[in-house]
Amino acid sequence: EGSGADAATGAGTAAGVVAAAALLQPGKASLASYASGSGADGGWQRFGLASDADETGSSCDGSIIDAGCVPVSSLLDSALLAMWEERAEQGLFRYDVTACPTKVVPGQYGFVAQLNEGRYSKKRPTEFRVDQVVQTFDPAKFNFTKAFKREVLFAFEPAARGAASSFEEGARCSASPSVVVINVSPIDYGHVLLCPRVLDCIPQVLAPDTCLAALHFALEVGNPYLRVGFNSLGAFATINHLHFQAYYLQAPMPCERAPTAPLARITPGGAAAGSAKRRRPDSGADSVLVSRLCDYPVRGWVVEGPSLAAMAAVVGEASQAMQAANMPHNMLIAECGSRVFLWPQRYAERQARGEVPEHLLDVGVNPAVWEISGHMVLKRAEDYENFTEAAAWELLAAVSLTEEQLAAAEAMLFGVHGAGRSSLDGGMAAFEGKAAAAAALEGAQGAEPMMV
Amino acid sequence: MPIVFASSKFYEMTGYSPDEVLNNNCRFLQGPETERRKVMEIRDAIREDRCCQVCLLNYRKDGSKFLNQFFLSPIKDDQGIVTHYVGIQTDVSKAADMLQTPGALQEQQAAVAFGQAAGCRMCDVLMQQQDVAAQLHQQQQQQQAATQQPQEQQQPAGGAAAAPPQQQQVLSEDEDVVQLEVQHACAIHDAVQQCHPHAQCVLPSSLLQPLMRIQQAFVLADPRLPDCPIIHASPQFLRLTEYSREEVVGRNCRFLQGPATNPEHVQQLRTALTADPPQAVTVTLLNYSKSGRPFWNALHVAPMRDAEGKLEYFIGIQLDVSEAALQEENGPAAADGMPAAPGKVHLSTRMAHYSVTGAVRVACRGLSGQAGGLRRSMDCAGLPRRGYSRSLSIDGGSAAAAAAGGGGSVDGGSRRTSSGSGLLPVVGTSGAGATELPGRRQHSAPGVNGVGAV
Repeated sequence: EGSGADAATGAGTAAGVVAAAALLQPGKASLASYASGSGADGGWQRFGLASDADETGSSCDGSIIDAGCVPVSSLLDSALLAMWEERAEQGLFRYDVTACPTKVVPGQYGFVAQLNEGRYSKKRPTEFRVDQVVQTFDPAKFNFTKAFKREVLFAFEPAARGAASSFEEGARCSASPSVVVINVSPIDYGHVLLCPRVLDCIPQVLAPDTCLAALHFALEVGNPYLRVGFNSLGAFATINHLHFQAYYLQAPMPCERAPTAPLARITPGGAAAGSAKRRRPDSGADSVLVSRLCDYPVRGWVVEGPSLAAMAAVVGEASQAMQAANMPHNMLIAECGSRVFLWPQRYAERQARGEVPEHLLDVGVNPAVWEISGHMVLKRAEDYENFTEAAAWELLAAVSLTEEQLAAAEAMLFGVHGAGRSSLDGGMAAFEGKAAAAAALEGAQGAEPMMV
Repeated sequence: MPIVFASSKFYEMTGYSPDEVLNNNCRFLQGPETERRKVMEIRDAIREDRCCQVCLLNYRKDGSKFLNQFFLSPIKDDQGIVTHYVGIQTDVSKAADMLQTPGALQEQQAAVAFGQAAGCRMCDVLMQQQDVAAQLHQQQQQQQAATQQPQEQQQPAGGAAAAPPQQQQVLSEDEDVVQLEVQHACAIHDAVQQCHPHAQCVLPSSLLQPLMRIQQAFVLADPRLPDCPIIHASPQFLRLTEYSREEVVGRNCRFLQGPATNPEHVQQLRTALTADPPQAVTVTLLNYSKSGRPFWNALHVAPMRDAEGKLEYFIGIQLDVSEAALQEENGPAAADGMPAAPGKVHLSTRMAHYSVTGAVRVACRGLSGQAGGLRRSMDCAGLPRRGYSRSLSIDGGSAAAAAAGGGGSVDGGSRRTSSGSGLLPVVGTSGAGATELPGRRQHSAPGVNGVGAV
């Protein structure tokens, strides 16, 4: 149940096995490759920015450009839209998502509500425990090697060094392709699933290298209205096979509007999460800024950095720390890979304890990354008609960690002590922070784990 | 949105020259440490056709950084259409430097710093900026009124392209603007690039901006207006058909048909588009450019829904496949110079059609007749706090549309087919509860409503 991914139609495993056989051979697929090396001169990707900006995540062409000019759609953006539209005409989706009414709820944040009865009408039985973030991959359960071949749009991989981005029909992909698959119960237009190294059967957990693939995808599409999201198990992922979701919505997500308060600058290194060694006093050119999200119903962090690789390292390591602590979490990549939102959540835990009010349960929304970002897919017309910003706030507040819990998490993940209220500074505070972080770490280890 | 005018203070502040600034957009001021959220603010202000004030880090040409208190304001013509945006920049770095805070600078810090150190309160700067913007509004509206007359007397061809340079010239000669230049850095961005004000482009920015991203020949037509006229045509369409925008907008695109156009092809289009609900259709048919040149047009027409799921527009995407037809051996070349009939639609043609369709679907999904779709409606208020921008009250583009369409309404229940070989007849059927066909695109349509009171 819920808003997790929902890849293949029904439980047609027999037909699915045939498709898997086709996928197992690295055979022909449409291939979208992205220029990944620095100094790559992929003409369509650059939009005229200096060449040394290519490697950097925050010089995302899409977001910069869209601040008012006439950019050109990227190759991946066009290909994604085209192939999705084609599948729609072929009738592969369970319903026409463009016929689902959508509106912005009055208020400052502009929460987006959608009435979508079709998405909930065929519920996939939950096959996974909601109290465990890391579970081993089970090939007997549904996974993306069983997806129908016609639902696979293309493979996505780095281009040869120095080559431009390209899109080839019927090309040979690598032995371990990352594929893009349609979501047949879309939340909005263009809803796809990115499955990195699909044949390696990775469970639904984040790691630096897979985060990097998702960031590259966001950058390559170059459209700030396409975000990439991730739900861990226990945070309403329904399939334990590594996948990210993405779709187009031509409006800012409410979380993107919320202010942030700088928390720490982290230079990613080999050090384990929580080690104070990672927080160096000098903010080097490769340091990633981690900020606290403020004035938003779900407490969390925003990661912004000078390069995709650095951001992926920080986000991946933070996720691994949360996995170790059995903390369910969600992640959103916004602004074409320049901003990553990270939220630990506890809705399932509170549900299990009976702490969620009945009227919220009745709405029937399981708060995954899109709901947390502010896009609410509702299944009852009366909820849609009467939806308010206050209602959205109430639902999302039940998802959030408390201030104390988040502070403990911060200490564990980023080595920060002080509840994120201190403004960012270099120098002395870092050294003070080391001692405090070590103390907090000890404290966190002694504390109760997040999930029962 | 290219810059069509920048004051000399702007060049001073940023270190760029007119060549580097004019006809570009101001993204060149942004860099690695520019806060992405502020960039989103600006983008969203444009999407919602409103003002915004943000304090963000910008970069001069030499790479040095400065803190830019930036005010953006739309300029609308008398029909309520946004034609330009005014951007005003104030360098507030000095005040921030005096506080010596490295790393990310917050708006509040800058405001406090500015107030303490510079002896001039932040709100004064903001009010000054609003004043400047108001003055520039007036200027611009006067210019528009002034330039409209000479434009009317010009030949229709090439009218649109001439507009920006002319405006630029007139502005720099204006006394008041010269005064403004001395004190404030500002720039004017053309919001409706190459779209002549006369052409009745009644589209809101939230639709026009994404449409301008598309580098292919296409038109948008409005089935709620009489005879389903074209309301937007891309520059590539105008190039392909050799018409000017004025000759095209407001007309049904059957004018592209000619003597040798096969009526059966036209009938295929009509059948699909007058179905209930209307269906997407791809047809290759013979069309004619303004000079009478025939060409094979691989045409894809699809219905577009707004945020409520109601039929809003039709999009038509044109591809000239005459050359491909020549290369294929599909029967003998016709006599009298007609291009040979093309074969089936190729993959790249399909991709071209569908990518445009998809992009416009995303854009139209943000539109809604009454409520403004995915745009927030907020009270008109003063200065923003904490990085949010409060919008002015918004009127949806549909109000302007009604005005432009002359209040033409369609009877619900009557179906009007055009005489002769109509390409895009008005779809005037009343909304019927279509049966749900699982998985197919054409189901669960709320139906096409008559215009009524738009």
